[in-house]
Amino acid sequence: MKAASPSPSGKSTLIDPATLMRLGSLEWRARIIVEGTRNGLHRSPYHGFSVEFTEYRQYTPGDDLRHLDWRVFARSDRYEIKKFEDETNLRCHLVVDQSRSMGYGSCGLTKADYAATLAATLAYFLELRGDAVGLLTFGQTVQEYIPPRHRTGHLRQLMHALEKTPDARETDLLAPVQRLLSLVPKRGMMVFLSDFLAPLDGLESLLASWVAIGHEVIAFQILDPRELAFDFAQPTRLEDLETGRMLALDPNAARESYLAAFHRHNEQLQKLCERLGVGFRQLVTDRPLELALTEFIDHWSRTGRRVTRTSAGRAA
Amino acid sequence: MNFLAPWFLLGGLALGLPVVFHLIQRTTRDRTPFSSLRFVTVSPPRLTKRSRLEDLLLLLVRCLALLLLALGFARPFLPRSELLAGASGTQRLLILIDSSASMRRTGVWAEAVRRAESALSHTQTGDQVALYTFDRELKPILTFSEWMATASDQRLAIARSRLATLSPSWASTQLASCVERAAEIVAERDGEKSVPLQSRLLLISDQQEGSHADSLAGYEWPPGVSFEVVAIAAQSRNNAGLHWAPPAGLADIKPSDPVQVRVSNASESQRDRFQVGWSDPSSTGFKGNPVEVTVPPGQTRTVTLPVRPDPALQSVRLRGDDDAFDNEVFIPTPVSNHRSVAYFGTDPATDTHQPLFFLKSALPGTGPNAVEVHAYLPTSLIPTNDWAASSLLVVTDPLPDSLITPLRTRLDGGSTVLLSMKSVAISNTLAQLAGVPGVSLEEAAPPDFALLGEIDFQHPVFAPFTDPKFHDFTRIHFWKYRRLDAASLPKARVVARFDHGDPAILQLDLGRGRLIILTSSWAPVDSQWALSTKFVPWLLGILEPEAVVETTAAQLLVGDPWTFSPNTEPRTMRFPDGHTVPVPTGTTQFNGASTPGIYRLDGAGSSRVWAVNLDPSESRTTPIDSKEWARFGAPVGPSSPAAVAPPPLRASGAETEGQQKLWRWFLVATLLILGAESIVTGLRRLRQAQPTPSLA
Repeated sequence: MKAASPSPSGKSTLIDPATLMRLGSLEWRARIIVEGTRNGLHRSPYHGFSVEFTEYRQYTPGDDLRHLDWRVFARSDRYEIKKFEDETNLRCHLVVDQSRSMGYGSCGLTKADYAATLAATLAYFLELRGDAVGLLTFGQTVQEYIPPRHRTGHLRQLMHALEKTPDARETDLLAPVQRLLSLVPKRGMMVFLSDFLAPLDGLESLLASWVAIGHEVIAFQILDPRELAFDFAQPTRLEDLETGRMLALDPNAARESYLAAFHRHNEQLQKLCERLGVGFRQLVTDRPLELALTEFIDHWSRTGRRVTRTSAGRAA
Repeated sequence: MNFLAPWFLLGGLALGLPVVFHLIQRTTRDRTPFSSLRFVTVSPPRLTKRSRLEDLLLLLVRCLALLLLALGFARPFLPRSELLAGASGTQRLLILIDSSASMRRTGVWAEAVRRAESALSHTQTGDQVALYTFDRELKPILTFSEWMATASDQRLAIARSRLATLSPSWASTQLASCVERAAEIVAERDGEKSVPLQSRLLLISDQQEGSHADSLAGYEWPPGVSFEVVAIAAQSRNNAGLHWAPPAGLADIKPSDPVQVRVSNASESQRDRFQVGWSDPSSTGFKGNPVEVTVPPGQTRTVTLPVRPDPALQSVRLRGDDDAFDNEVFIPTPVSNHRSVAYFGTDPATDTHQPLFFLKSALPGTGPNAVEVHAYLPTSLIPTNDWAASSLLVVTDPLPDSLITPLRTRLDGGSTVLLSMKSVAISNTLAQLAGVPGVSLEEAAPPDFALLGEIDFQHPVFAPFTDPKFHDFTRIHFWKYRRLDAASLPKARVVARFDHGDPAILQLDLGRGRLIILTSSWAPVDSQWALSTKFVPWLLGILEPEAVVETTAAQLLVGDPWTFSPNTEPRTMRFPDGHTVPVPTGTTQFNGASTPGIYRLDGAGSSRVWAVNLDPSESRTTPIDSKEWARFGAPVGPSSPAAVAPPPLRASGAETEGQQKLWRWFLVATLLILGAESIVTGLRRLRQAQPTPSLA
């Protein structure tokens, strides 16, 4: 499906992803996508340690001594902690799969291009909102981690990391989750961008740990249209991009079993997400990225900061 | 069909490659990357009968392309034997033998003949062979057409018999022009263009320096002609040549003057002392004392000989080297052509207004062609013997009857009588000489003057004025003349007329002699004829009508022609060996000087000699370097010493293959087949790329 959704006037206002990918700059792609969906910055209801002072509170052991107001102590002999308005109220981690399977594409762009563009779009969107955005790319292992920040140049650093070509031979979905569990004690948002064409064993318990911490998790499964249709016309030899394994097959004979196994896997993934309260969206690379962003915003606004706790032991 | 590089046929083993490729391609046709094979079950494709048939076609096409490529690289060619369809000959061979004077050196000619026979013996039945010699010009001995017209079993015998009769000439060597002509002859195909014979020009020569081969450098050789040289080496290299440095003309030779000759020593000679002197005709020695001369190798010295001890000696000899062909040079002794003119008239020789004075002044009194004028009073007492030997008899006054008869006798014997009319009183004498009853004469006095208006320039009397630039006679005025009625002399031919139409000069042939009549006289009282520049040539034209020789050089080289005016009198040419050949009337050129020596042309009352000598360039006998042929751009064959044999088979095959270039056609066929294969494959891929509805 290459056509984008039509506008109310009958004209298509969404951009074909293949056309969008011709823009070399990832930042430009993100700017274009975000252009029509930006809602403006909102003020944060949370407090942090920043420039704008809000109130004092009494010191309790364990607080950082850097935030003690020594002038109040000198004047009133009380330990008071100075509190400031925190500009950032969301710490979002973009978890992007850069394994070789993401390098597949049959409609003029690869899944990796699509995922990188979507990640850049989300990062730009959140950056405009004043949120801190971090990035973790992974394949067989965690490849790169950029902690969430909101400062000048950070977005460009993210873009640079996203532009790397996927070269990991296999996909290990557990590695990034485990790594982020150890790195991010503070709750935030986790946006998982992957094709999830990997064993799901053990994923549920780790995701449950995320959810238990309070992270809001959204999983975008990015697929190629041919992966969904398996519409090869002639007998061919398929090469596994990750393992390099070759397999000669007659597509007519293999299509049925493939589609059954593929849908079974996706269904399993989707149920896993439902059980954990993880938002799950399946994106096909011929769909306009604006729709993906819209779905992200819809999902976020719908779920708010509600944390659904689900017992990890019930995971399949 | 033969192959020049048959090992390339091993490339035919590559025919197995397309089979292997096809077998591989059946299972590995396309490689399509896919994200993950985790959900794909093994289901190998099944081949259809249709695809097998199409692959078989491509297999055959690719095998054929490889096969043609291998054949092309093997450089195939059709041997000449196949092309000749039974004829076993492979070459068109022209054997060119140098027969110049330098080939007279000891052993050179015999070796040349032996090499030529060897070349003939290596020819095959179907070969085309011609035999030519050359010195200063090309001479056919046995042409290609003669060879082909002869029965194949007699060709070699005829060629050998003609070869045996050959001998070197005395002429110089014009190698470049003769080789060029021979190359064109051997390149001709005589309507057999379909038979690609190998054209070979085999030169057998001593390759001497003086062969004038330099101009060969600018020659563009006919394509396909190979040039092979068989160098004949002389047994001895000690050669010196003798040459005469003649004066400009024969008239400048004086027997009393010393003679200068040049001695040139070959650059490779090992001797430098020689003797030069007048040769003794009766022996091989000298007449008188020879002059000792030292000439270093490669240099030339001029030697002044003493005055010839005997005027009859006409050759100078050199002694001291090994080869004698250029050791003698001929120096002619001028022939004295003293003649006398008998003048019958009454005027004294000292009277500057009378004809005798001008006659004596006009004719040369000294030199080899001196003319002596004897004047006689026309009386009956003149002894006949005094003037009987005169070349010309001039009559200006009436003669007594006693003189008429002897004059008429001389006329009948072939003498020339010039009758100039000082007055009408001579009419009786004219009538008696002409043998007519009477001649009508009357004194004519034109108002101003008369001119010669109508002249027969074809007549020998006016032959010196044949050129139109000498035609102007309008400045010669005749004040008085005698009007002669031409009808009274019916046999007379009018050579010139006055502008009034009256005859001025007539000729009457009497017996073997002739009577030339001038109706006026050259005395100033009658005309300006004696004062004009045309008077002397006119007189000489009457005196020596046949001996106007145009070639005046004292020395000619062997083969040089010389020219002279056409003769009406019988003449003979005497050759150096003493035999004489009559020169036909009307001959203007003589080309028969084939040997050095003294040639003598004897005519009526006059003789002329020429010395014919060897070309000095023939004495430059040092052989030129064999590399010079390549510098001249000649397509020199594989090896000069062994060139008598036909080229080896490999060289012949390479040349044949180079001419046929069959590999080009194999390559073109390969490209065409590969192009067709690409088109077929492309079409099939397009067909396969179209979606098949039944797959859904």
